[in-house]
Amino acid sequence: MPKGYWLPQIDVSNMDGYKAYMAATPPAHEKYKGAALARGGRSEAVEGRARSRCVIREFPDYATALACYRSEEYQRARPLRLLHSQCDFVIAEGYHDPTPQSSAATAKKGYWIAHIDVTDAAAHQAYVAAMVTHVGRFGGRFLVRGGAREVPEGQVRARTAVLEFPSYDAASGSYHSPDYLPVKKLRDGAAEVDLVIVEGYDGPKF
Amino acid sequence: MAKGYWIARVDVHNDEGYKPYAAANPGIFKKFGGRFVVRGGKFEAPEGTARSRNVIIEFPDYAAALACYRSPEYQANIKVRQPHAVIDLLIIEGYDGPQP
Repeated sequence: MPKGYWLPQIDVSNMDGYKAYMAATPPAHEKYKGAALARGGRSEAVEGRARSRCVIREFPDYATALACYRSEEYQRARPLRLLHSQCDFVIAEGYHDPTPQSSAATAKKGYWIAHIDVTDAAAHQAYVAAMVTHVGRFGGRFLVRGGAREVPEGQVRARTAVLEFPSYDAASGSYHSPDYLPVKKLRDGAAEVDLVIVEGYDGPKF
Repeated sequence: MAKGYWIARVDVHNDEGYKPYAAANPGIFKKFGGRFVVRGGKFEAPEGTARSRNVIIEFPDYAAALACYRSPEYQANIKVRQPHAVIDLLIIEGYDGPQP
């Protein structure tokens, strides 16, 4: 089922007044599960005309996007916006690509979560270089790779990496691939690792 | 700007006791711009040790990830969780360098 979208563009004339509108909208968006994908971040009108503030809000489907707009909850908030801004407001149905690639692209992602104690830094570097090439073939990309850290509860090893893959099968497949064996061998004796391969979450956003 | 993450592994001893903690979390995370990247879900642990539940929450940046943990709301919720679960929690800055 294609999603539904609110696509308002807004010129705000009085930000303080407009803030009161923004503060009044959560009851409607929570009830109709409208999630903000863009909300006044940077934008540039590369062609034609646009207003200064762009918002994209995603709903479970087109009917829900319309129902939210027409709801008592939203209609209570709306007059606050009219007082303090001008708006071009479109509600649109999303695109549902019927090809299988699309459903694969929206399926749950897969992750490697690795907590590492490095015991031989030089040898471990050689492993990391080979591993990056290997996981790249499976669509892996780093979400976390070292970085500032705190462990407020419990214990984990000194270094952490998180890799995201297009699917759980890709995450698991890259580990169990025969091509990974010679790569993994490079870190034997160079590091101790706690590694989990886990399926991502694609349930409702809050 | 690099994102910030909570990476947690959890052993829950008492599901019923844990539920109110889990139910209160989304409201707290939302306030700090958090979203679930991993929330339970099937997993395998091919190397080393693991706990039975894995969670990753992504925040807009590292400061937001820390602020959420230190918020009075979450600190109060920790007390709800503590009798029912053992947790290893890492708060870490995301990576925004070149990708494979």
